Amino acid sequence: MRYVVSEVSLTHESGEVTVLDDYNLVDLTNNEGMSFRTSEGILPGEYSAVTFRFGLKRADNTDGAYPDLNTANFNVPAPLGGGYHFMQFDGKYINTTSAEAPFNYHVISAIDPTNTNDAVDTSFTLNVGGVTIGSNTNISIQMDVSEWFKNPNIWDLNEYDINLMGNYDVQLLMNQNGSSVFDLVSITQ
Amino acid sequence: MSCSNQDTDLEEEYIPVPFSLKVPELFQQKLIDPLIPNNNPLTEEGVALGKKLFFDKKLSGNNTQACATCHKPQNSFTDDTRFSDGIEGVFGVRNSMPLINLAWNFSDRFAWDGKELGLERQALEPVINPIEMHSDWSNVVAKLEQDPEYPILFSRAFGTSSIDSVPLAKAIAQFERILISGNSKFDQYLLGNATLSLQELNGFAVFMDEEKGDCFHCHGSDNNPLWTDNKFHNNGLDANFNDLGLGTVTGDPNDNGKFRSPTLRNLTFTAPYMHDGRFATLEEVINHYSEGLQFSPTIDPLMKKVSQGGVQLSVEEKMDLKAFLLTLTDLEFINNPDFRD
Repeated sequence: MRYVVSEVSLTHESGEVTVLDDYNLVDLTNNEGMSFRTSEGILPGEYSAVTFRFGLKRADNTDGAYPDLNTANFNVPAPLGGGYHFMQFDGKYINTTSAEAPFNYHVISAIDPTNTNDAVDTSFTLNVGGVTIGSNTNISIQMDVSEWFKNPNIWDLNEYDINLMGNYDVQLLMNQNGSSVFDLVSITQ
Repeated sequence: MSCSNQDTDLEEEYIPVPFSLKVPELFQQKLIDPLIPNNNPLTEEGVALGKKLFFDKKLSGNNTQACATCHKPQNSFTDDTRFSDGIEGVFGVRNSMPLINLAWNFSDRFAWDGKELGLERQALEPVINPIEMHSDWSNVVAKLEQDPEYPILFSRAFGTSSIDSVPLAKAIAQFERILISGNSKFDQYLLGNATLSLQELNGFAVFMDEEKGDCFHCHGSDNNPLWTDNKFHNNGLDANFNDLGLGTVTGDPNDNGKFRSPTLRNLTFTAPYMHDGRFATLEEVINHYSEGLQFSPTIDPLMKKVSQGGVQLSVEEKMDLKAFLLTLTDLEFINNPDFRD
Protein backbone atom coordinates (compact mmCIF):
# COMPACT_ATOMS: atom_id res chain seq x y z
CA MET A 1 0.00 0.00 0.00
CA ARG A 2 1.12 3.53 -0.79
CA TYR A 3 -0.76 6.77 -0.43
CA VAL A 4 -0.08 10.47 -0.54
CA VAL A 5 -1.14 13.09 1.98
CA SER A 6 -0.76 16.79 1.46
CA GLU A 7 -1.41 20.15 3.04
CA VAL A 8 -0.65 19.00 6.58
CA SER A 9 -1.70 22.05 8.52
CA LEU A 10 -2.02 23.33 12.05
CA THR A 11 -4.55 26.02 12.82
CA HIS A 12 -3.52 28.17 15.78
CA GLU A 13 -6.24 29.36 18.12
CA SER A 14 -5.58 32.81 16.69
CA GLY A 15 -6.68 31.52 13.32
CA GLU A 16 -3.23 31.50 11.76
CA VAL A 17 -2.64 28.40 9.64
CA THR A 18 0.78 26.81 9.33
CA VAL A 19 1.29 24.31 6.51
CA LEU A 20 3.93 21.79 7.59
CA ASP A 21 4.57 19.89 4.40
CA ASP A 22 3.54 20.07 0.79
CA TYR A 23 2.93 16.34 0.41
CA ASN A 24 4.25 13.10 1.72
CA LEU A 25 4.19 9.67 0.09
CA VAL A 26 3.54 7.01 2.69
CA ASP A 27 4.85 3.62 1.57
CA LEU A 28 3.78 0.87 3.92
CA THR A 29 5.22 -1.83 1.70
CA ASN A 30 8.74 -0.47 2.02
CA ASN A 31 8.27 1.27 5.38
CA GLU A 32 9.14 4.65 3.90
CA GLY A 33 7.54 8.03 4.47
CA MET A 34 5.89 6.76 7.66
CA SER A 35 6.74 9.95 9.45
CA PHE A 36 8.09 13.35 8.75
CA ARG A 37 9.57 16.04 10.90
CA THR A 38 9.25 19.69 10.29
CA SER A 39 12.11 22.08 10.57
CA GLU A 40 9.71 24.96 10.58
CA GLY A 41 9.38 26.87 13.77
CA ILE A 42 5.94 26.14 15.17
CA LEU A 43 4.71 28.53 17.80
CA PRO A 44 3.99 26.57 20.99
CA GLY A 45 0.45 26.85 22.16
CA GLU A 46 -3.07 25.74 21.52
CA TYR A 47 -4.12 24.70 18.07
CA SER A 48 -7.74 24.19 17.24
CA ALA A 49 -7.16 21.81 14.36
CA VAL A 50 -4.66 19.46 12.76
CA THR A 51 -5.75 18.84 9.22
CA PHE A 52 -4.38 17.11 6.18
CA ARG A 53 -5.59 16.21 2.74
CA PHE A 54 -5.77 12.65 1.48
CA GLY A 55 -4.45 12.87 -2.05
CA LEU A 56 -3.68 16.05 -3.96
CA LYS A 57 -6.23 18.73 -4.65
CA ARG A 58 -6.99 19.42 -8.25
CA ALA A 59 -4.84 22.52 -8.48
CA ASP A 60 -1.84 20.59 -7.16
CA ASN A 61 -2.47 17.32 -8.98
CA THR A 62 -0.50 18.43 -12.03
CA ASP A 63 0.60 15.74 -14.41
CA GLY A 64 4.30 14.95 -14.09
CA ALA A 65 4.99 17.91 -11.84
CA TYR A 66 6.67 16.14 -8.92
CA PRO A 67 9.99 14.39 -9.63
CA ASP A 68 9.89 12.30 -6.48
CA LEU A 69 6.42 10.96 -7.25
CA ASN A 70 7.44 10.34 -10.86
CA THR A 71 10.50 8.45 -9.71
CA ALA A 72 8.27 6.47 -7.34
CA ASN A 73 6.15 5.52 -10.38
CA PHE A 74 2.98 6.94 -8.83
CA ASN A 75 1.59 8.49 -12.01
CA VAL A 76 -1.91 8.23 -13.44
CA PRO A 77 -2.21 7.89 -17.22
CA ALA A 78 -3.41 10.92 -19.14
CA PRO A 79 -6.65 9.25 -20.36
CA LEU A 80 -7.63 8.90 -16.70
CA GLY A 81 -6.94 12.53 -15.94
CA GLY A 82 -3.19 12.39 -15.43
CA GLY A 83 -1.63 13.57 -12.23
CA TYR A 84 -1.02 11.06 -9.47
CA HIS A 85 -2.63 8.23 -7.61
CA PHE A 86 -3.98 9.11 -4.20
CA MET A 87 -3.55 5.53 -3.08
CA GLN A 88 -2.42 2.18 -4.43
CA PHE A 89 -3.70 -0.66 -2.29
CA ASP A 90 -3.07 -4.09 -3.79
CA GLY A 91 -3.79 -7.45 -2.29
CA LYS A 92 -5.76 -10.66 -2.55
CA TYR A 93 -9.10 -11.92 -1.32
CA ILE A 94 -11.04 -15.16 -1.38
CA ASN A 95 -13.80 -14.82 -3.94
CA THR A 96 -17.18 -16.50 -4.16
CA THR A 97 -15.62 -19.53 -5.83
CA SER A 98 -13.25 -19.90 -2.87
CA ALA A 99 -10.33 -18.98 -5.08
CA GLU A 100 -7.66 -16.47 -4.25
CA ALA A 101 -8.12 -13.42 -6.44
CA PRO A 102 -6.28 -10.11 -6.71
CA PHE A 103 -7.62 -6.66 -5.98
CA ASN A 104 -6.21 -3.29 -6.94
CA TYR A 105 -7.93 -0.65 -4.81
CA HIS A 106 -6.43 2.36 -6.56
CA VAL A 107 -7.80 5.75 -5.62
CA ILE A 108 -7.45 8.63 -8.07
CA SER A 109 -9.42 11.71 -8.97
CA ALA A 110 -12.66 10.48 -10.47
CA ILE A 111 -13.14 10.90 -14.18
CA ASP A 112 -16.49 12.44 -15.01
CA PRO A 113 -17.93 10.25 -17.78
CA THR A 114 -19.90 13.22 -19.14
CA ASN A 115 -16.67 15.14 -19.64
CA THR A 116 -13.61 12.91 -19.83
CA ASN A 117 -11.40 15.92 -20.32
CA ASP A 118 -12.08 16.94 -16.77
CA ALA A 119 -11.38 15.12 -13.55
CA VAL A 120 -13.55 15.40 -10.48
CA ASP A 121 -11.49 16.21 -7.43
CA THR A 122 -12.06 13.38 -4.99
CA SER A 123 -9.25 14.26 -2.64
CA PHE A 124 -10.56 15.19 0.79
CA THR A 125 -9.41 16.90 3.94
CA LEU A 126 -9.53 15.49 7.41
CA ASN A 127 -9.47 17.24 10.75
CA VAL A 128 -8.13 15.08 13.54
CA GLY A 129 -8.85 17.66 16.18
CA GLY A 130 -7.07 20.16 18.37
CA VAL A 131 -3.63 19.77 19.89
CA THR A 132 -1.30 21.48 22.29
CA ILE A 133 2.07 22.13 20.66
CA GLY A 134 5.12 22.14 22.91
CA SER A 135 8.82 22.09 22.24
CA ASN A 136 8.84 18.55 20.85
CA THR A 137 5.37 17.33 20.01
CA ASN A 138 4.67 14.07 18.21
CA ILE A 139 1.32 13.56 16.54
CA SER A 140 0.51 9.99 15.60
CA ILE A 141 -2.24 9.23 13.10
CA GLN A 142 -3.28 5.78 12.00
CA MET A 143 -5.26 4.35 9.13
CA ASP A 144 -7.85 1.66 9.77
CA VAL A 145 -7.59 -0.15 6.46
CA SER A 146 -10.85 -2.01 6.99
CA GLU A 147 -12.77 1.27 6.79
CA TRP A 148 -12.02 1.45 3.08
CA PHE A 149 -14.26 -1.57 2.73
CA LYS A 150 -17.19 -0.75 4.97
CA ASN A 151 -17.98 2.77 5.96
CA PRO A 152 -20.45 3.91 4.74
CA ASN A 153 -20.34 1.66 1.68
CA ILE A 154 -20.02 -2.07 2.24
CA TRP A 155 -17.50 -3.19 -0.35
CA ASP A 156 -17.94 -6.36 -2.31
CA LEU A 157 -14.60 -7.21 -3.86
CA ASN A 158 -16.32 -9.80 -6.01
CA GLU A 159 -17.96 -6.84 -7.72
CA TYR A 160 -15.22 -4.22 -7.47
CA ASP A 161 -11.74 -5.72 -7.36
CA ILE A 162 -9.72 -4.73 -10.39
CA ASN A 163 -9.74 -2.04 -13.07
CA LEU A 164 -11.18 0.53 -10.68
CA MET A 165 -9.21 3.60 -11.69
CA GLY A 166 -11.43 4.51 -14.59
CA ASN A 167 -14.67 3.63 -12.83
CA TYR A 168 -16.24 6.97 -11.90
CA ASP A 169 -18.91 5.56 -9.62
CA VAL A 170 -16.43 3.38 -7.76
CA GLN A 171 -14.10 6.31 -7.22
CA LEU A 172 -16.97 8.19 -5.61
CA LEU A 173 -17.63 5.23 -3.32
CA MET A 174 -13.97 5.17 -2.36
CA ASN A 175 -14.11 8.87 -1.63
CA GLN A 176 -17.02 8.32 0.72
CA ASN A 177 -15.36 5.43 2.51
CA GLY A 178 -12.13 7.36 2.95
CA SER A 179 -13.58 9.87 5.36
CA SER A 180 -13.42 7.49 8.33
CA VAL A 181 -10.15 5.66 7.75
CA PHE A 182 -7.86 8.00 9.66
CA ASP A 183 -7.82 8.50 13.41
CA LEU A 184 -5.68 10.44 15.81
CA VAL A 185 -3.82 7.88 17.90
CA SER A 186 -1.78 9.93 20.27
CA ILE A 187 -0.14 13.23 20.99
CA THR A 188 3.04 13.05 23.01
CA GLN A 189 5.23 15.82 24.29
CA MET B 1 74.15 9.81 -8.08
CA SER B 2 70.58 10.17 -7.00
CA CYS B 3 68.08 7.69 -5.77
CA SER B 4 64.39 7.77 -6.33
CA ASN B 5 61.57 5.94 -4.65
CA GLN B 6 59.35 4.26 -7.24
CA ASP B 7 56.25 4.71 -5.11
CA THR B 8 56.98 8.42 -4.71
CA ASP B 9 57.29 8.79 -8.48
CA LEU B 10 53.86 7.21 -8.91
CA GLU B 11 52.09 9.29 -6.26
CA GLU B 12 50.98 12.16 -8.45
CA GLU B 13 49.34 15.17 -6.95
CA TYR B 14 45.77 14.16 -6.15
CA ILE B 15 43.51 16.71 -7.81
CA PRO B 16 40.46 14.80 -9.06
CA VAL B 17 38.24 16.65 -11.49
CA PRO B 18 34.50 16.32 -10.86
CA PHE B 19 32.75 14.43 -13.64
CA SER B 20 29.91 16.28 -15.29
CA LEU B 21 27.15 13.71 -15.63
CA LYS B 22 25.16 14.09 -18.84
CA VAL B 23 21.61 13.91 -17.52
CA PRO B 24 19.03 13.81 -20.33
CA GLU B 25 16.58 16.65 -20.52
CA LEU B 26 13.56 14.49 -19.67
CA PHE B 27 15.34 13.05 -16.64
CA GLN B 28 16.06 16.57 -15.43
CA GLN B 29 12.40 17.46 -15.84
CA LYS B 30 10.80 14.33 -14.48
CA LEU B 31 13.12 12.60 -12.01
CA ILE B 32 14.95 13.37 -8.83
CA ASP B 33 18.71 13.66 -8.93
CA PRO B 34 20.66 10.42 -9.41
CA LEU B 35 22.06 8.54 -6.46
CA ILE B 36 25.78 9.27 -6.11
CA PRO B 37 27.23 8.07 -2.79
CA ASN B 38 29.16 10.63 -0.79
CA ASN B 39 32.07 8.26 -0.38
CA ASN B 40 32.39 7.72 -4.14
CA PRO B 41 31.72 10.95 -6.02
CA LEU B 42 32.08 10.89 -9.78
CA THR B 43 35.42 12.15 -11.04
CA GLU B 44 36.99 12.20 -14.49
CA GLU B 45 39.83 10.09 -13.19
CA GLY B 46 37.56 7.62 -11.41
CA VAL B 47 35.33 7.14 -14.42
CA ALA B 48 38.33 6.68 -16.72
CA LEU B 49 39.85 4.10 -14.41
CA GLY B 50 36.51 2.35 -14.04
CA LYS B 51 36.05 2.16 -17.78
CA LYS B 52 39.51 0.68 -18.27
CA LEU B 53 38.87 -1.91 -15.57
CA PHE B 54 35.41 -2.74 -16.96
CA PHE B 55 36.97 -3.83 -20.25
CA ASP B 56 40.09 -5.44 -18.78
CA LYS B 57 40.37 -9.21 -18.83
CA LYS B 58 43.00 -9.11 -16.13
CA LEU B 59 40.14 -9.17 -13.63
CA SER B 60 39.53 -12.82 -14.49
CA GLY B 61 41.58 -15.74 -13.28
CA ASN B 62 42.92 -16.73 -16.70
CA ASN B 63 42.75 -13.30 -18.35
CA THR B 64 39.99 -14.31 -20.76
CA GLN B 65 37.02 -12.39 -19.46
CA ALA B 66 36.19 -8.86 -18.45
CA CYS B 67 32.99 -7.34 -17.10
CA ALA B 68 32.32 -6.36 -20.70
CA THR B 69 32.34 -10.00 -21.78
CA CYS B 70 28.84 -10.44 -20.32
CA HIS B 71 27.91 -6.76 -20.43
CA LYS B 72 28.61 -5.74 -23.99
CA PRO B 73 28.03 -2.15 -25.10
CA GLN B 74 26.45 -3.27 -28.35
CA ASN B 75 23.87 -5.24 -26.34
CA SER B 76 23.06 -2.34 -24.06
CA PHE B 77 25.52 -3.83 -21.57
CA THR B 78 24.08 -7.30 -21.40
CA ASP B 79 24.83 -10.18 -23.74
CA ASP B 80 22.75 -12.11 -26.23
CA THR B 81 22.71 -15.48 -24.53
CA ARG B 82 20.24 -16.96 -22.12
CA PHE B 83 22.94 -17.64 -19.56
CA SER B 84 26.57 -16.60 -19.51
CA ASP B 85 29.52 -18.89 -19.01
CA GLY B 86 32.46 -18.02 -16.86
CA ILE B 87 36.12 -18.69 -17.51
CA GLU B 88 35.74 -22.37 -16.62
CA GLY B 89 32.92 -22.80 -19.10
CA VAL B 90 30.34 -23.17 -16.35
CA PHE B 91 27.04 -21.45 -17.06
CA GLY B 92 25.13 -19.39 -14.54
CA VAL B 93 21.39 -19.62 -13.93
CA ARG B 94 20.41 -16.03 -14.45
CA ASN B 95 20.34 -13.86 -17.54
CA SER B 96 22.90 -11.05 -17.59
CA MET B 97 21.17 -7.78 -16.67
CA PRO B 98 21.58 -4.72 -18.89
CA LEU B 99 23.38 -1.82 -17.27
CA ILE B 100 21.19 1.21 -17.93
CA ASN B 101 20.45 4.24 -15.76
CA LEU B 102 21.66 2.49 -12.63
CA ALA B 103 22.20 5.77 -10.82
CA TRP B 104 18.43 6.14 -10.60
CA ASN B 105 17.86 2.84 -8.83
CA PHE B 106 17.02 4.33 -5.47
CA SER B 107 16.42 0.99 -3.83
CA ASP B 108 20.17 0.57 -4.34
CA ARG B 109 19.54 -3.15 -4.65
CA PHE B 110 21.02 -4.75 -7.73
CA ALA B 111 20.83 -8.06 -9.57
CA TRP B 112 17.59 -9.80 -10.38
CA ASP B 113 17.08 -10.75 -6.76
CA GLY B 114 18.33 -7.56 -5.16
CA LYS B 115 21.13 -9.34 -3.34
CA GLU B 116 23.74 -6.71 -4.14
CA LEU B 117 23.41 -3.63 -1.97
CA GLY B 118 25.02 -0.86 -3.95
CA LEU B 119 26.99 -0.86 -7.17
CA GLU B 120 30.29 -0.88 -5.28
CA ARG B 121 29.37 -4.18 -3.64
CA GLN B 122 28.00 -5.65 -6.87
CA ALA B 123 31.27 -5.03 -8.70
CA LEU B 124 33.18 -7.23 -6.25
CA GLU B 125 31.20 -10.42 -6.64
CA PRO B 126 31.76 -11.52 -10.25
CA VAL B 127 35.54 -11.24 -9.91
CA ILE B 128 35.71 -13.98 -7.31
CA ASN B 129 32.67 -15.99 -8.30
CA PRO B 130 33.86 -19.48 -9.40
CA ILE B 131 31.35 -19.64 -12.24
CA GLU B 132 32.13 -16.15 -13.47
CA MET B 133 35.59 -14.55 -13.52
CA HIS B 134 36.94 -16.95 -10.91
CA SER B 135 39.86 -14.91 -9.71
CA ASP B 136 40.96 -13.77 -6.29
CA TRP B 137 41.90 -10.31 -5.19
CA SER B 138 45.58 -11.03 -4.54
CA ASN B 139 45.86 -12.29 -8.10
CA VAL B 140 44.04 -9.29 -9.55
CA VAL B 141 45.99 -6.79 -7.50
CA ALA B 142 49.32 -8.36 -8.47
CA LYS B 143 48.47 -8.17 -12.15
CA LEU B 144 47.33 -4.58 -11.95
CA GLU B 145 50.36 -3.53 -9.95
CA GLN B 146 52.60 -4.94 -12.66
CA ASP B 147 50.79 -2.94 -15.31
CA PRO B 148 52.62 0.28 -16.22
CA GLU B 149 49.42 2.36 -16.18
CA TYR B 150 47.24 1.18 -13.33
CA PRO B 151 49.24 2.48 -10.35
CA ILE B 152 49.23 5.93 -11.92
CA LEU B 153 45.51 5.74 -12.73
CA PHE B 154 44.66 4.66 -9.19
CA SER B 155 46.79 7.47 -7.84
CA ARG B 156 44.97 10.02 -9.98
CA ALA B 157 41.56 8.65 -9.08
CA PHE B 158 41.97 7.94 -5.38
CA GLY B 159 45.14 9.64 -4.24
CA THR B 160 47.15 6.47 -3.78
CA SER B 161 48.91 4.07 -6.11
CA SER B 162 48.10 1.27 -3.70
CA ILE B 163 45.64 -1.03 -5.42
CA ASP B 164 43.00 -3.13 -3.74
CA SER B 165 39.43 -4.27 -4.29
CA VAL B 166 37.77 -1.28 -2.67
CA PRO B 167 38.97 1.48 -4.99
CA LEU B 168 38.74 -0.95 -7.88
CA ALA B 169 35.05 -1.53 -7.21
CA LYS B 170 34.49 2.17 -6.66
CA ALA B 171 35.99 2.96 -10.03
CA ILE B 172 33.86 0.40 -11.83
CA ALA B 173 30.77 1.73 -10.05
CA GLN B 174 31.62 5.24 -11.20
CA PHE B 175 31.82 4.06 -14.80
CA GLU B 176 28.54 2.21 -14.50
CA ARG B 177 26.80 5.31 -13.18
CA ILE B 178 27.56 7.24 -16.35
CA LEU B 179 25.83 4.63 -18.52
CA ILE B 180 22.78 6.74 -19.13
CA SER B 181 20.21 6.03 -21.82
CA GLY B 182 17.67 8.74 -22.50
CA ASN B 183 17.64 9.49 -26.21
CA SER B 184 15.16 7.11 -27.78
CA LYS B 185 12.56 7.94 -30.38
CA PHE B 186 9.94 8.15 -27.64
CA ASP B 187 12.10 10.54 -25.63
CA GLN B 188 12.35 12.75 -28.70
CA TYR B 189 8.60 12.46 -29.20
CA LEU B 190 8.01 13.72 -25.66
CA LEU B 191 10.36 16.60 -26.35
CA GLY B 192 8.44 17.47 -29.49
CA ASN B 193 11.20 16.44 -31.84
CA ALA B 194 9.79 13.23 -33.29
CA THR B 195 6.51 11.81 -34.52
CA LEU B 196 5.13 8.41 -33.62
CA SER B 197 3.24 6.24 -36.07
CA LEU B 198 -0.39 5.41 -35.39
CA GLN B 199 0.65 1.89 -34.48
CA GLU B 200 3.21 3.16 -31.99
CA LEU B 201 0.67 5.52 -30.45
CA ASN B 202 -1.86 2.73 -30.21
CA GLY B 203 0.77 0.60 -28.55
CA PHE B 204 1.47 3.32 -26.00
CA ALA B 205 -2.24 3.47 -25.31
CA VAL B 206 -2.30 -0.29 -24.65
CA PHE B 207 0.69 0.11 -22.36
CA MET B 208 -1.02 2.84 -20.34
CA ASP B 209 -4.51 1.34 -20.21
CA GLU B 210 -5.39 -0.24 -16.87
CA GLU B 211 -7.88 -2.48 -18.65
CA LYS B 212 -5.51 -3.60 -21.37
CA GLY B 213 -1.77 -3.99 -20.98
CA ASP B 214 -1.56 -2.09 -17.69
CA CYS B 215 2.19 -2.13 -18.07
CA PHE B 216 2.67 1.28 -16.45
CA HIS B 217 2.14 0.12 -12.88
CA CYS B 218 5.49 -1.70 -12.97
CA HIS B 219 7.26 -0.32 -16.01
CA GLY B 220 6.96 3.45 -15.84
CA SER B 221 5.30 5.95 -18.13
CA ASP B 222 5.86 9.12 -20.08
CA ASN B 223 6.39 10.76 -16.67
CA ASN B 224 8.82 8.11 -15.45
CA PRO B 225 11.46 7.79 -18.17
CA LEU B 226 13.27 5.04 -16.29
CA TRP B 227 10.60 2.66 -17.66
CA THR B 228 10.86 0.58 -14.52
CA ASP B 229 9.79 0.94 -10.91
CA ASN B 230 12.96 -0.86 -9.78
CA LYS B 231 10.80 -2.94 -7.45
CA PHE B 232 10.36 -6.67 -7.12
CA HIS B 233 7.38 -8.56 -8.47
CA ASN B 234 6.26 -12.10 -9.11
CA ASN B 235 5.01 -11.68 -12.67
CA GLY B 236 3.47 -15.09 -13.01
CA LEU B 237 6.24 -16.95 -14.79
CA ASP B 238 5.91 -20.16 -12.81
CA ALA B 239 3.46 -22.05 -10.65
CA ASN B 240 6.38 -23.68 -8.87
CA PHE B 241 9.74 -22.02 -8.43
CA ASN B 242 13.16 -23.39 -9.17
CA ASP B 243 14.52 -19.92 -8.39
CA LEU B 244 13.16 -18.09 -5.36
CA GLY B 245 14.55 -14.74 -6.45
CA LEU B 246 14.15 -12.06 -3.79
CA GLY B 247 12.99 -14.76 -1.38
CA THR B 248 16.48 -16.25 -1.43
CA VAL B 249 17.87 -12.94 -0.20
CA THR B 250 15.29 -11.96 2.38
CA GLY B 251 14.31 -15.42 3.58
CA ASP B 252 10.70 -14.24 3.58
CA PRO B 253 8.41 -16.73 1.81
CA ASN B 254 6.27 -13.79 0.70
CA ASP B 255 9.19 -12.75 -1.52
CA ASN B 256 9.52 -16.09 -3.27
CA GLY B 257 9.44 -15.81 -7.03
CA LYS B 258 9.90 -12.05 -7.06
CA PHE B 259 12.41 -10.44 -9.38
CA ARG B 260 13.30 -6.84 -10.14
CA SER B 261 11.39 -5.10 -12.92
CA PRO B 262 13.95 -4.41 -15.63
CA THR B 263 13.91 -1.27 -17.70
CA LEU B 264 12.11 -1.50 -21.01
CA ARG B 265 14.72 0.64 -22.73
CA ASN B 266 16.71 -0.91 -25.54
CA LEU B 267 14.80 -4.18 -25.70
CA THR B 268 16.00 -4.48 -29.29
CA PHE B 269 19.45 -5.25 -27.93
CA THR B 270 18.77 -7.06 -24.66
CA ALA B 271 17.13 -10.35 -25.66
CA PRO B 272 16.56 -12.92 -24.29
CA TYR B 273 14.21 -11.73 -21.58
CA MET B 274 13.30 -12.41 -17.96
CA HIS B 275 15.58 -13.41 -15.09
CA ASP B 276 16.33 -16.73 -16.74
CA GLY B 277 16.24 -15.56 -20.32
CA ARG B 278 13.40 -17.91 -21.13
CA PHE B 279 11.80 -15.66 -23.75
CA ALA B 280 13.81 -15.15 -26.91
CA THR B 281 11.50 -12.56 -28.43
CA LEU B 282 9.28 -9.69 -27.40
CA GLU B 283 6.37 -11.57 -28.88
CA GLU B 284 6.91 -14.31 -26.31
CA VAL B 285 7.06 -11.73 -23.53
CA ILE B 286 3.82 -10.10 -24.62
CA ASN B 287 2.13 -13.47 -25.05
CA HIS B 288 3.16 -14.35 -21.51
CA TYR B 289 1.37 -11.34 -20.07
CA SER B 290 -1.55 -11.83 -22.42
CA GLU B 291 -2.26 -15.55 -21.96
CA GLY B 292 0.60 -17.21 -20.14
CA LEU B 293 0.39 -16.16 -16.49
CA GLN B 294 0.91 -18.91 -13.93
CA PHE B 295 -0.70 -18.63 -10.50
CA SER B 296 1.46 -19.02 -7.40
CA PRO B 297 0.82 -17.89 -3.83
CA THR B 298 3.07 -14.86 -4.17
CA ILE B 299 1.92 -13.72 -7.59
CA ASP B 300 1.69 -9.95 -7.70
CA PRO B 301 -1.88 -8.60 -7.39
CA LEU B 302 -1.10 -6.44 -10.41
CA MET B 303 -1.20 -9.65 -12.46
CA LYS B 304 -4.91 -9.07 -12.20
CA LYS B 305 -6.15 -11.40 -14.92
CA VAL B 306 -4.20 -14.43 -13.79
CA SER B 307 -7.40 -16.49 -13.59
CA GLN B 308 -7.76 -15.98 -17.34
CA GLY B 309 -4.10 -16.46 -18.02
CA GLY B 310 -3.48 -12.78 -18.57
CA VAL B 311 -4.76 -9.52 -20.02
CA GLN B 312 -6.03 -11.13 -23.23
CA LEU B 313 -4.72 -8.72 -25.83
CA SER B 314 -5.83 -8.99 -29.43
CA VAL B 315 -3.33 -9.78 -32.16
CA GLU B 316 -3.39 -6.16 -33.25
CA GLU B 317 -2.91 -4.88 -29.70
CA LYS B 318 0.12 -7.14 -29.30
CA MET B 319 1.69 -5.84 -32.48
CA ASP B 320 0.98 -2.27 -31.50
CA LEU B 321 2.45 -2.79 -28.05
CA LYS B 322 5.62 -4.22 -29.52
CA ALA B 323 5.87 -1.27 -31.89
CA PHE B 324 5.64 1.12 -28.97
CA LEU B 325 8.26 -0.78 -26.95
CA LEU B 326 10.68 -0.49 -29.85
CA THR B 327 10.38 3.30 -29.71
CA LEU B 328 12.37 3.08 -26.47
CA THR B 329 15.44 2.05 -28.46
CA ASP B 330 18.40 4.38 -27.97
CA LEU B 331 21.00 3.95 -30.70
CA GLU B 332 23.09 6.76 -29.27
CA PHE B 333 23.56 4.76 -26.09
CA ILE B 334 24.91 1.62 -27.69
CA ASN B 335 27.17 3.56 -30.04
CA ASN B 336 28.48 6.07 -27.53
CA PRO B 337 32.28 6.02 -27.76
CA ASP B 338 32.50 7.17 -24.14
CA PHE B 339 31.01 3.81 -23.19
CA ARG B 340 33.25 1.66 -25.37
CA ASP B 341 36.75 0.42 -25.02
